[in-house]
Formats: sequence, structure tokens, C-alpha cells
Amino acid sequence: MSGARTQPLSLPRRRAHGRLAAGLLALALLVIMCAIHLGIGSRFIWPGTVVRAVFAYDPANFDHKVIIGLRLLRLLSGLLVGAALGMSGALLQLVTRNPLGEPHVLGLNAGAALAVVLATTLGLAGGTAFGALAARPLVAAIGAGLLFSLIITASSAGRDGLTPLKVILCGVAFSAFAASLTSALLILDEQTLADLRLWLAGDLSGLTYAGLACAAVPAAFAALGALAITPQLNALALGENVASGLGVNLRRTRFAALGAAALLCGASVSLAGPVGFVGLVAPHAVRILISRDARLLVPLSAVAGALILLGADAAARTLLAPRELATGIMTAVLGAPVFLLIVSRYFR
Amino acid sequence: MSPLSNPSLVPPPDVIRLAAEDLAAGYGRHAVLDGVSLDVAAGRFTALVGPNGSGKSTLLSAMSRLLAPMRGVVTLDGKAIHRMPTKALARELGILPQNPLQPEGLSVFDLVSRGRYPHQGLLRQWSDADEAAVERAMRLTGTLEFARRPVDDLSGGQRQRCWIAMAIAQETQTILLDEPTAFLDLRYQVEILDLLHDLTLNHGRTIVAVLHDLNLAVSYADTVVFLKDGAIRGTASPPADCTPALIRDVFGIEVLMVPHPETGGPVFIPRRGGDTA
Repeated sequence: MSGARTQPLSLPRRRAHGRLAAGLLALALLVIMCAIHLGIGSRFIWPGTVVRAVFAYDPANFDHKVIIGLRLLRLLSGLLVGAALGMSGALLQLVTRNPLGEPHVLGLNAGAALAVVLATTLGLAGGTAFGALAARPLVAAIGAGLLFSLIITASSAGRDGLTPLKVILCGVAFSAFAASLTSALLILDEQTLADLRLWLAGDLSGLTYAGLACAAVPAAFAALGALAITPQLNALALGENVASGLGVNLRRTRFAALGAAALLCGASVSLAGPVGFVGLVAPHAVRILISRDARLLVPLSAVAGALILLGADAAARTLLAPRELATGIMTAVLGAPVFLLIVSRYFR
Repeated sequence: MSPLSNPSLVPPPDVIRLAAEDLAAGYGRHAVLDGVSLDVAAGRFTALVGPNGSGKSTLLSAMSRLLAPMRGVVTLDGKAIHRMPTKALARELGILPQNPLQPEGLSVFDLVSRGRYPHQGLLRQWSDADEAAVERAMRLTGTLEFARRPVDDLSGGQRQRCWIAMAIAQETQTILLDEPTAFLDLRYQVEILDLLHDLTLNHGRTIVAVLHDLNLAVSYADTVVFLKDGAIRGTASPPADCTPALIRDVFGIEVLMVPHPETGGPVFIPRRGGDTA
């Protein structure tokens, strides 16, 4: 151990290089996944052709036209939805200190979906008019934030205050309540039901570039805000008292983290509907494989979330080809066992 | 190292670093402390002792802004702490609460590094000054040798030293600690108290600690403050001024006072239940 004694502080730094390498590896995997995802469809296109279509586009080539004209939008939307859900899950897990923290489990998705359906039936956020498209992510974020606030308030009641288990139970109960309201609204309005049926299962369909741009702007602001507060989130992981003692403003940090989580969730729901479990699995995968440090966990959960969502979407479209499953069904198939594993580990 | 202070290195006793004035504080609407006033001398080790529920931890929380006072004011070098910006206060006053959360798998180095939070900003992340402060804190607490190991792998005493290293890395002039020796065996208790004593004597820090062992408090601290029922019942400065009558009043037990064979300071031995003086 004499080597460790003479240069003890260079060692943690070397491990930081290892983490950087792991992060770069995750990014490289994501690029490969993008190439595969673009290749998948009614007609499989090999990654070599995909790369040429992106970097040397030839309008005369039919495959190139399919990739750029039809599939690129789905890929970009999938990237945004997965990254937003992954980051939103990481924020919720860090700030509620709950290993099951996730937009779907904690009711953010259900709140966002209800808000969008309500706004659509009222004629506020439906259709493809630009104003409606631009309002949709924000309406979804407000719905997510409102329902989550309600859940936190309800689970704080009682003598023992806010416990992780109570938050989860309230999340499930209020999600079910919001989902039944959503169904009721849709039964009353058949036209909207027809428009939103696939969207409500959580699927990357019915996308437009305008809708993508409208979701990307609030998501980008939320992501920057989330990255800026990662040192505060690290301090908060040591307990509220330690964090206050280190000079962290608890209320402001929580508000910023939950606001960012709601905006990210709203952006993803506006594009793909309520997709579950990506926000649960992505941060846990990063924690196990790379780091628990919030400064790495938050950005890498976005990368992992995008990877998982694209993988699930690719599987949803190939497993029963030529028929397609909704993306959200695949993420649930993947995520439910992980959810049970985490429950058995933390709530014995 | 002798547990007794070396008077030549200690600042004059009339410099007050931290002061509570007519402080009332508690949880919900219930006031645990009522009308407490306390002056903490700069560069000294002040111990707070008293029975369970006497308000020691509440006083420490209110003096470090973990708890907003219902009445009264706490000042650090004359400035009211509840009106200072949070980060500015955290550069001058550190607090190590009881039972901090132990994140799974966090390395000792990473834990101690988090003590640098108040010195960092959005654009000013990790610097050489941070690195040097962390290394100094780890050297002082003897935690350098397990810098890379996860905190949850260590023994209770080593773990407590890591948390104290985090508080030291914060580089605040004043450090408050809530029961830093709780749940530690005697050897680690002595180690931690030696360390705190060294911080006041050789590094000019002001230390306030809630302690539960009366004899250790009396032999290590420069001032011992006795609390009972949310009020200060007596202050022994130097601790040799402590009397069996004060201890009977505060703890409700009879004690014998005998001189320490080496230092001559007082040692208190509880009498058995039936033997009343």
C-alpha cells in the first residue's frame, strides 16, 4: 500500500477517467443503436446504407429517401422522449430519495396525459396548429406537476410524514384516478378517442417536426437547469440537515428539480404519450454500471434512457412484424421485472 | 497529547464568535428551548451536556440555522445568521448533524469532497484549493489511507472520522457537532475528542459539540454548558468549576467528585441507586 500512500489523491482521479470512458462508451452504443433503429421498418436497411444516407444523402436513392424522409423523425423523437424520461427519473429518484421514483410510478405521466386529453377535448391543444403544438408540452408539464404536487401532499399526511412507500402507493392511486378521468373524457368524445388511442398507450406515432421542435425547447431548458443543480442534489443525498449545513437552499433545489422533471415528462408525453419504466430503469442502470454521482448520473441517465427507448421501439416494431406494438408496451415488459426487483430489494 | 489546553496558544477568552440571545426554538408549535442565551468563545471547545430531551440538539440546530428560531437571534461575529446568504454562512459555520445519510457505495474521498460545496459555484467547479483542503482534512483525521473505499465498508469510528473530515474540508472557522461520539466504543470516542481538541488548540477552530459522556466533556472541553428542560442551568468554564450540586440539579443523580490522579481535574462517579449522600 506504500504506492497508495505517496499519491493517494491521484487514485480517485484515475477512477474519474474510468467513468469518462464508460460515459463515452454509452454514447458510442447510442450511435450504434441509432443506426440500427433507422434501419428498422417495413423494409430493413443495413447500417452501412443508413450511415451513407445521413452523411452523403442521395435524393435518387430510394433507401436514402425512406431513412431521411420517413424514419429520421421517429428516431429524433425517440431520442428526445427516452432522454427526457431517463433524466426525469434520475431527478425524481434523487430528490425524493426513492429508488422507485419515476414519472410513470409517481403519477407525472398520468397527470400529463390527463391534461393533454382535457386540453384536446376543450380544443386547446389538439390538432396540428402551431399554437396548439407549442402549448402541448407545457400543458402536459403543468398536468404532471399538479398531479405530483397532489400526490406529495396526500402522502405527507399522517404522523410518520412522507415515507417512500406512501409516495408510491399514492402515486399508483392518483395515477389510476387520473387515468379513469382520462377514459371518461374520451368516452364522451369519440373523435378525440380515435385520435389519441395509440398515443395513450405510449407510442412514437403521429409525429411531426413542428411537434418535435415544440417539445425540444422546454426539454432543453429543463435539462440545462437539471445539470446546473447536480452539486446541490449530491449534497441532498447526504440528508437534509447536512445539505442545509453545506449551504444548499433545500426549497429552491427541490422546486427546480421537480419543475425540471415535470417539464421533461411533459415534453416526452406530448410526443409519445405516457411511456413507463424508462425513467426507472435508466438511472438504476447508470448507478450500477457507472456512477452514483449526480453530476454523472443525471446526464448519463438521459443517454441510457434514449438507448432503452430506441431499443424498445425497435423491438416493438420487429417482434410481431409486420404488425407493430406500442413502444410503451415494450418498455413495460422490460420495466416491470426491474420494478419488482427494486421493490424486493428496498421494501423488505 | 494532553487533553488540557495550552493557554499560550488559545485566543483571549473575551472574543465571542457565536452567540444566542433570548432564543426560543422547537418543532411544530412546541417550544423545546425557551429564552436561552449563550456566548461561545472563539478558538475554544464548548461542550453541551444534559439529560435526554434537555434541548441540546435543538440548541445546536438553532445555532446552525437547521432550525428557524421562534424568538431571539443567533449571531456569528456579530452578524445574524438567519439573515446571511446560505452559502456565505456555510463558508463560516459548519454543522455535522446526528445520523447523516450514508449513500450506498460513496467513496471516502467523494464524501469529504462534498464538504467543498459552499466554495464552489456554477462556473467554478473543482479547483486546486478544493483538492488541497480535502487532502488536509483527510490527513488530519487519518482517513487518507482509505480514500478510495466506500464509506459503508468502514467501521463506525472510521466512518465518523470521514464525516468529521467532510466538516473540516468545508474550512469553516466554527464547527458544530451533534453527538460526534454517539454509538462509538471508548477508543474511538477518545480519538474523536483528541481530534476536536487538536482543532481548537492547533488550528484555531471554534468547536461546539453535544456530548453525552460527562467525564469526557469535563476533561476535553474548555467550557461545559449544562442544559435541562430547554434552559441553561449552569456553565463551567473552566470545567474544573463543575460541582456535584450542579450535576445533581441537571441529571438528578448523586455523584462523588474525585480528583483525576494525573491532571488534578474533577472526575464524577455516580453513586449507586440507594446510597444517598
